[in-house]
Amino acid sequence: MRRRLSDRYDTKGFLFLAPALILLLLSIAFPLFRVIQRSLQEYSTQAGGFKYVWFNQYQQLFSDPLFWISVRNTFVFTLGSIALHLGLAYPIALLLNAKWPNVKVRNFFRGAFILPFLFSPPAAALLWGILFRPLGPLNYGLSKLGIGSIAFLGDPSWALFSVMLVNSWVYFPLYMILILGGLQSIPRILYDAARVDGANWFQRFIFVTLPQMRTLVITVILIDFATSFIHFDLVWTMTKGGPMRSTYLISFFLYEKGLRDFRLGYGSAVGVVIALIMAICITAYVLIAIRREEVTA
Amino acid sequence: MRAHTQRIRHILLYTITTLITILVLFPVIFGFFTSFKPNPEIFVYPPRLLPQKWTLQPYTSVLTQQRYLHYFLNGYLISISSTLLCVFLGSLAGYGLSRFKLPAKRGLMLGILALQMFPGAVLMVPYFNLSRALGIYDTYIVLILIDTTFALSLVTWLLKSYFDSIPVNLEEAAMVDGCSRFRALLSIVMPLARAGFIGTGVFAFIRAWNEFMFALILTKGPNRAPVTVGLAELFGQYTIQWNGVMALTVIATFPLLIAFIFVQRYIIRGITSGAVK
Amino acid sequence: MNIRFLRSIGLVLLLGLLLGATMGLCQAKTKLVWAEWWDPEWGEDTVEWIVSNFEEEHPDVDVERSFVPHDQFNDKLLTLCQAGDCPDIMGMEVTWSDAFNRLGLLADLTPLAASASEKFNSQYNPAWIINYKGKAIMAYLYTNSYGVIYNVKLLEEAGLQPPTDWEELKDTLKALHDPVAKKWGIALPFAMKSSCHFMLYDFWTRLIQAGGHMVDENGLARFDSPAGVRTLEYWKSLLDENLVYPGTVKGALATGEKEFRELFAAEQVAMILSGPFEKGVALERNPDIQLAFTPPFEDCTGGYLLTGSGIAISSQTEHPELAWAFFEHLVSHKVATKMIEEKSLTWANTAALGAPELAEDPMLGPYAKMVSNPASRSWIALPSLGDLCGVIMEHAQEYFLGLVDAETALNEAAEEWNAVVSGG
Repeated sequence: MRRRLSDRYDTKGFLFLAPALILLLLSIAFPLFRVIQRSLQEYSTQAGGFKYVWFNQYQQLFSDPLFWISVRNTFVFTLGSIALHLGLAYPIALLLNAKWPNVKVRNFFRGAFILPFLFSPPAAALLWGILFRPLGPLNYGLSKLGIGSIAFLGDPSWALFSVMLVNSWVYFPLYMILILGGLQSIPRILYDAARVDGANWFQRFIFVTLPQMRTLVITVILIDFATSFIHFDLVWTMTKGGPMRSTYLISFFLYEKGLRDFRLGYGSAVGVVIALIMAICITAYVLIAIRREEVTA
Repeated sequence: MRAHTQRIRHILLYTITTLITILVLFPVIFGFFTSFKPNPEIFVYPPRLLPQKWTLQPYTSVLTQQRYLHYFLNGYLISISSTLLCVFLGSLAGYGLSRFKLPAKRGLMLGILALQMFPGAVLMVPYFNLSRALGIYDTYIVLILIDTTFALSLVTWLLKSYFDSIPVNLEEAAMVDGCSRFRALLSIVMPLARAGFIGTGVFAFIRAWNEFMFALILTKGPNRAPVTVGLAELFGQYTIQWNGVMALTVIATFPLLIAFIFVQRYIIRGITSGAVK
Repeated sequence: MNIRFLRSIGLVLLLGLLLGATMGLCQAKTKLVWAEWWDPEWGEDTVEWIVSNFEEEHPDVDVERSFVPHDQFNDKLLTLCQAGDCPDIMGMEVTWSDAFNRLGLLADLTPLAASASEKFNSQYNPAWIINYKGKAIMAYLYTNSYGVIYNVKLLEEAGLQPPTDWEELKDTLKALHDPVAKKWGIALPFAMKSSCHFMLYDFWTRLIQAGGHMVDENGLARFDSPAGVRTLEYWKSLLDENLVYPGTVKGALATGEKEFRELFAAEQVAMILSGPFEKGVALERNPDIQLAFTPPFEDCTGGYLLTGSGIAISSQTEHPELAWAFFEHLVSHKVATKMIEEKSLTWANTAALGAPELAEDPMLGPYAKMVSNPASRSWIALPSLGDLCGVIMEHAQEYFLGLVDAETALNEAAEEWNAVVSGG
């Protein structure tokens, strides 16, 4: 579909953008400056303030093996969470968008699925901590089914998957609602036209739904990446990075090494590196996923 | 024959959805009943879904404390205000990005995301100092602004993609009829993107509702702090009030769920009776 | 308009304002801010009782209580203090003290203690004031040592005597293990989220008993020793013989300190290794529970680890003497007696702790013997103690899972430990 009102740049668009841009700019400019400045400094008691140490903090950071462990875990966690979120949210949204014989029942399900999202992270972490207990409900169920017990949060090879599962459970409703909103915004005309052309439901899904949902799904993945990559509270409450360092995320590294003991210089350096990693990933993703004509048109 | 396949289709629909619902909602149900259990019972083997001895103590201990009322009201006030502000600013920006040919648009869109890339924890101290310098420490305003900015970039992106899926010729027709740009946005695009607004609104609301660190650091206590700060009170040095946390979640969740069902029904009705059909 | 009339009104207003201001100044109470995390543990009414008692004795002082949950206490207080808004008197853990001290936020208690009241001096053990880098940075409100606590009823039902040393403990655990009913003798905090509890309760305590030392006077590791190996081997032998809840190594690595406490209160396990405050916690959960410390153990030594939680005074306070007076009130005989009796906290007051009836107490009697053993050692303030706990826990878990041997685990832990200590 072409959405071309004019072929020339139309700077009136900036009027629409201005309020949001001003707020974002104001809220990022000063702190950003501060964080970058701090990352080159260190607090010194003798000097009674911050003094420049330039790239020392970064050097220390890159030579810390724990940092690299946390980077690896974070990528696994983020990508796994995105896959699980979409894997849960997309099909359920399709189900809930299908034609139901009874709209009330469908609305009930729509309401029911949002429930996990209403748990605040510490509460969800606590709840799943109970469910995951070695002799808790899940393992009890597994043992009744004749499957041995699983140490969800105690087994280093399971723990990261377990916390990913919880992260998916809490946040999939968000992505489900977003996708549902997208599905509902697709004009009915397009489906009717496809039906006239003799397309069955699968062809309609492939040729109408998927392309229409493209930018939204790209955005959803982006949101998920941006939130999961610096995820903290849920996993922190459940494991604090253990057992061993199997669930140790980059945000834990930031908190433990930089902020808990108020090493603001080091903490800022970690923050800047995280921002750089995210910026690279997001930029690469956007450049690959969004074609030029899609944004400029 | 057609009726037959239709019937099978419906049965399938119901069974699959019910199965998924049970899987997804089992923890919710478990958490609900946990809120009625005395704490030691939560750890007994074999685990039970229903309490052996029902107790309302987790509820009364929360509900009888004046400050929890504050926490709730603050939570609603902050979250609703920041949601409205965020969706308003986001829809303007999203529309601008979706409908105008702008120079360096991809760079602009990436720039909007810049704030998202800094973990909130790094910004804690700068924001704390800034809020005190501006004299908005321990006010609603600071939390509303922070919650808004943290959700705004993603809300803008989301609304842009919803607007993208709405054919542009509808507005062009309206504008040919003499509608202004802004009118076209309000009367044509917004109603069509209604379903998208639920999603984005829920996103902005829950993010604000669950925000904890800034609420803790930038407020002095129950007078301005939202529910998450009240929840943290239940995590002690030695023990956690497990049932209290679940009870507070139930209390906090109930109005939200009702509101969600209400809003969603209202907006869906708007869509099905709207012009798109 | 009559200018003179206006002027006189203005004058009267001004005078009134001045008068009001001076009167207000005369009447204004001195405000003392106390940041604490104890509401959930002691109950808000108890905290309020402490404050109002002090205000009765000092009618010109208004104590403002600022509650911050324990988990966030360190973060929030550091942020407040760096902005110059430090509470006058604040709860303090040894774990956090280095960061506060490094930023110059803690007042030196030495001069204040030097001019302390006679009553205080006669009832407060000077060892409860923590010195660090040549400065008295904090003082304990209550002390702790960690030993084996048992559920009296469960041991009686099993026909068992409380164990008197580590080998007997193992035998008792074997007798208590019931694989069918899924009952175990003990639950231990071996999860990473409880790394500091593991380090204090299980590693450091057992290490002293094994005749080892945790650190030297500079805070550098000394636990990479035969005593350290003996410590880890002891815990692993319990794990390998399935004596620790829930019977598997991997399962045990998921139990944190919040969980073992509930398991004990719910009578799922008969024993835990913890401090005297456990009585108050368990009774609140389960009013019928009866618990007691075992007689003090003696392995190579009979020593235990001495720890505590306390308060610090801000270096920014305008009323250090008043803050100190409040601290003296906190550890006064009156408060101490209430806290010992009602909350089972071993409050830092020698007179209250020395009350003759407490010697018969199943918790406080053995506790007194534990702390008075000459081989007992105090823990010390260390930089980034949170990181250090994580180092110990990570390598202990590696060893428990059988990935490395005990010596390697301890050597690696010591290397990382020293890097943290010398880096800070």
